[in-house]
Amino acid sequence: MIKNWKITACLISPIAEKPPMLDAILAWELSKRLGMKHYNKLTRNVSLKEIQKVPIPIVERTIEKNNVYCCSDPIYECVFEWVEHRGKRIDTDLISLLLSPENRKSLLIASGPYKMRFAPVRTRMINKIVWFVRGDRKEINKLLKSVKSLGKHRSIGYGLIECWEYDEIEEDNSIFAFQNGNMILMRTVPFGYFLNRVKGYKKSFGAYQLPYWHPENYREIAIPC
Amino acid sequence: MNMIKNYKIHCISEALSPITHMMGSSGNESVLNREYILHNNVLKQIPVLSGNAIRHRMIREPGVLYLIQVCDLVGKLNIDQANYLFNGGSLTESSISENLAKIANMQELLPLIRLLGGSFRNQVVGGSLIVLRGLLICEENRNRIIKMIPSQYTMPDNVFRSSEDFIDQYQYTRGDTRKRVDAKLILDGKENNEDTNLMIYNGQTIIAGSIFYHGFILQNVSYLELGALLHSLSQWEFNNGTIGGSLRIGHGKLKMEIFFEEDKDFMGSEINIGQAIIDYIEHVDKNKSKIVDWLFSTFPKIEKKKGKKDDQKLENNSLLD
Repeated sequence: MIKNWKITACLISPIAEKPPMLDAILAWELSKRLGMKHYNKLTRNVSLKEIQKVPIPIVERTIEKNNVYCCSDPIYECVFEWVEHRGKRIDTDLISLLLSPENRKSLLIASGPYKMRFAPVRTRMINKIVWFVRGDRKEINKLLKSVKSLGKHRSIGYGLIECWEYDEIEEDNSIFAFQNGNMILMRTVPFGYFLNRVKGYKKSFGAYQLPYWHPENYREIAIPC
Repeated sequence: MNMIKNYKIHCISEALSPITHMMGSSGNESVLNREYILHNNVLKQIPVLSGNAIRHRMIREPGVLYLIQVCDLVGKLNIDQANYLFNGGSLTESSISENLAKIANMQELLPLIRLLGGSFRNQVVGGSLIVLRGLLICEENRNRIIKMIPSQYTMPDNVFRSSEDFIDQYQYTRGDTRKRVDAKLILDGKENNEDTNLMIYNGQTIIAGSIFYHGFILQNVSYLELGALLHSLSQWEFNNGTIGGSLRIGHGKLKMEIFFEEDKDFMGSEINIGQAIIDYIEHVDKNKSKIVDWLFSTFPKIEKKKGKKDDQKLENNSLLD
């Protein structure tokens, strides 16, 4: 049943980089289950015209001819932020004798495919991430219960989720919220004249719809702040 | 039948020797890898084993070494194959198409690599394993540990102490031959005017007897991938079971105990660890020639394009002949 929800992800380990948009998580999970091209086959080279829309269980609303999902940007309090490092190196002493004799030669490790790295990872201590959503809780939960962690570097333990919590709320705070008679922006939207009546945003350049990283989606946007 | 399922494996590891899992150095002192945590509204830095280290040392390295042994690949690999197996490969070429047959063959033949993921020269293939960070069981981590630890595990008494109680220092000296009693007999006497290279080096360590909680989440995997993970863990334990650095001087020994979140799989039958490992061993044994073929077709030897310089060299060589 379509209702307004406050969805909370309780984290149990620090998250790498930024918390993601909830519609992006749902689209990722659903496309994976449906075997769609979005799941790890979509690259910057692929035009979005070739891509079928993922039917995620969130209501869409049209703002000045642009469709946006009724799902707020992630809301969180960063308790502390620090930098960790992720190393990658070819264990030359281990592999030398495993290589065939003609391959035992000088290896460039400062650049190229065998570059050794000690790459910084921006790490944040965040206890809870909240999204305001208008959608179908049952269907959302079906997808989110398989999502075990958030953010980057999930395969090595960052952003581990303890639980997902759902609270039903009366107001729809997914795109705009009302506070003391002011309309406050809650999610990234395309920049336009309607924003004259809205507070709490800054102008930027990026994507307001899925996939958020694809250059074809880039345009002037307003992001909540 | 090989049903697709999610598994969660909890691990409790006890340090049998000091653990030196470092994040850097300060002067000539090594500093333990730590993460921040908010404890009683105070920020504290607590030692942690990184998921990256656990993933490589416990799963990838022992699993890949086993594959290389069984498939008789010692001394036959090229650098790209070794990079793919031991480090997950590197994306070095752009692509406009996906070779689904290549991915499907890999996933069918190499359950371990399907679990860990990796990159061919022109396409990335995701894995299905989440490795949890190794949390030190201490007072600061109490809330997290209680939420995560399996109910079957009985916590030892007085284990929830301050993390600083589990940290110690080590100090070693790098010797100098000139300081030996018999130096005059060994050396020719010409080095006497040089500066000494005798060096004291030290660092932090987590004491023996400390306990860590860590674990593995396997998403959408078959019994063979579970078998691959358990087999790698058994190989790691069989080969002394270590983590961190300074292994040459006896640091880093862990004793691990594993627990399944549910001891039943999707079909309601009990998870048989031994059978999962045997199934994986039989799978590798049955497909070893196909594994070798796949590896050499996916990462063939790159022939260098003959340029002007090469032609010149050939000409010069022929002149010399």
